[in-house]
Amino acid sequence: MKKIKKEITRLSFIMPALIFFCFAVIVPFLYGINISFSNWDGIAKNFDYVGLNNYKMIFKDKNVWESMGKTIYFGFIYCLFNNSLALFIAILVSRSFKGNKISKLLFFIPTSLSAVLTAFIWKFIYSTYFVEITGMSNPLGNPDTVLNGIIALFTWNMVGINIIIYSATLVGIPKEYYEAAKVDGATVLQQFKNITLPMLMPAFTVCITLTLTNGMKEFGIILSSTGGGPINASELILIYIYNNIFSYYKAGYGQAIAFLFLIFLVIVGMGLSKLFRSMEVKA
Amino acid sequence: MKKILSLLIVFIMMLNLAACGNKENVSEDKEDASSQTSTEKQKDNSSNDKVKGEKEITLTWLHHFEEEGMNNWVDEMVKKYEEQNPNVTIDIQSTGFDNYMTLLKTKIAGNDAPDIFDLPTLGANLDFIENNYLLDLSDSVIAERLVDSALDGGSYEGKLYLIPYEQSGFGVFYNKDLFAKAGIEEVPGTYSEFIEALKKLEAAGITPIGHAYGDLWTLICDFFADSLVSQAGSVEGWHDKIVSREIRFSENAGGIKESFERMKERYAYGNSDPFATDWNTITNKFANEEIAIIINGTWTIDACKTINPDLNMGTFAFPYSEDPEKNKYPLGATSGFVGFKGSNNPDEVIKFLEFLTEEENAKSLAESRKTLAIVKDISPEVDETLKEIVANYINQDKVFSISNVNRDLPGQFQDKFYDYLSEYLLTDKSVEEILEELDNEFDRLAE
Repeated sequence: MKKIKKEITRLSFIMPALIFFCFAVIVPFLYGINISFSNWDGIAKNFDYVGLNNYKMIFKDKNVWESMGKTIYFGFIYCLFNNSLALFIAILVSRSFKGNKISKLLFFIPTSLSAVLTAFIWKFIYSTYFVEITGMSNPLGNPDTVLNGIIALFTWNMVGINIIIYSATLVGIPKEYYEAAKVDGATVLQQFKNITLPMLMPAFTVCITLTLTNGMKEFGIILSSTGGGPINASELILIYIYNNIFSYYKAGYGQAIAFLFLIFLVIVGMGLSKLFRSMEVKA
Repeated sequence: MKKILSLLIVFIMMLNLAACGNKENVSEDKEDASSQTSTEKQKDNSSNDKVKGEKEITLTWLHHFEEEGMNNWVDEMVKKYEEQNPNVTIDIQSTGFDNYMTLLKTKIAGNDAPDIFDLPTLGANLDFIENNYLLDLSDSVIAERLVDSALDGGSYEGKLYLIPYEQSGFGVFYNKDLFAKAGIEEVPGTYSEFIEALKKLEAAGITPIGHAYGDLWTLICDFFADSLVSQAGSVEGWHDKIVSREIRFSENAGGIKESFERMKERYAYGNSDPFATDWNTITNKFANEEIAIIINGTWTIDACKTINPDLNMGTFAFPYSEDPEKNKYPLGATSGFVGFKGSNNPDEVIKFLEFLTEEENAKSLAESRKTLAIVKDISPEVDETLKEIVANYINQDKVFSISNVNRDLPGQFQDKFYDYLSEYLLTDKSVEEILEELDNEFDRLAE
């Protein structure tokens, strides 16, 4: 009896958070799944259930697969670009030199800007300085370069977070390892490969998993910079879902794609973090 | 005892938080509470009510007007109506056009629909009629007041649902001074004269046309200036038939192939990076006399003259044909106000909409919107450039009415159509290939 009472007391502490979570996440989520089996047009009061029709349609819709391909490209290139840049900057700023604190701060400033503002700033940079300095045309206006253009500005916006994580981990690597390596005559490159990289593994797990999934589910920056154009070249899956729900009057279909995409993201995220965890060294 | 007490406190805390989490219930509670208080108020005011004999009404009006003139007009109308009807309060809600439709649909789905709102066209938003969301205005005095083109544009299957707020059209807007500088003496009346003019402008070192395809709607309007007259003018119901697959692109229905080719030909005379340039940049360049031509809708006049009021600007119909008689000006009244059928006070909504079409109010609307009037027998003070449309086209019977033309293709068809048009402009694919692909895409979407 006493034990049960204790359990209830414990449980009651998580109840507030749990109830909030239910109403803010679980209920809308279940309602969304419910809609994905219907032909709801987004505004009507009533709708009919159409069984698995929406899901069957996804496999016939080549737009879904095209935008999925772009999404995966965007996610991977963004992840690669963001993480290598973040690691590079983190190694630079975690050395002790005069002004390393201020430079850390400077690299973090873009992260505090919203997606809309970032898109606005970069649309301006691309259409003026970029064209004048490089002589190339604006990357956002050309279907072949638009995704890379967005990846660049999105990285600029988000790289600060990864820099913080990497530099915090770098600071935590014991100096003794490097000293011992120096005594053994290891080169800088060998030190990086055999000490820094393995010791950074926990940071890789977090950063790579998060940047990859965040990249694939990015919506705001694309909507505010190109809206999916030109010629749908930047129409990632989330933009396509949004279009279905809000512009094509196919909310049920959009929900169905969104649900499948969620499953895909969960699998990718869990798979990646499991893979990286198994590669981590226990220090 | 202490434990029980602490447990009790925890539960009380939890209840509070739970109430915060359950947003819906809270708002309902609030509504109940507010309705209670308002009924209480009504009870309190019952003596006053007997004097007034009317209950308090609040109407909400959602709009997306960003132009200052139009916003002032909205404020003015609300103020005037509230003065005339002291029991009515009108709550204005506004947003930008980009998320206007999303917000509107979310509000309707969430049982929070505005009483008065506007739709860009009736034809592309038939869902609103099918779901029975729009008030039927056929029996009100509004129907008698509207000019024919406005009545056409606001009706569907014989019933009036929408009150257009402007007569607008698509054409070529040009800078007269730059034309003179390039040695173009006459307004081009045929297609070859138009191309000739573009060549002269280019030779004089002026960027002939400003394209702002970074905002996709400008591509659509650019295409409309040609296609509405050439396609809809040659095949009745072109836009509906192409969706129902009665006519096909590859069979060159309504001369679509030539429209595409003309589009690409004039695309070459545009600014650099057209697909990365936005509307504001182009109107600014036009207003600052860096660009000679914009092909778009009649609102271009207001947009450019707000920046440079002294701009010497003219307009003519896009000369798609070699026969000057065929090059009519596409004009119509499609965007307009509607009332929400599920409103708590439908009669008051209709009354307010009637108020908007009263002579004086319609006149001030036309003047603030800088557009042609939609109500009969009023002559608002309009802009010089608009007067050219009246003198050269309306009075000479050279107008092509687009009020009845369902110019927007439904949802995904529209997006795909302009995707392929953009692809044609940006790549080396031949027009035949593009039209073939368009047919395949439309076949798939029509399934």
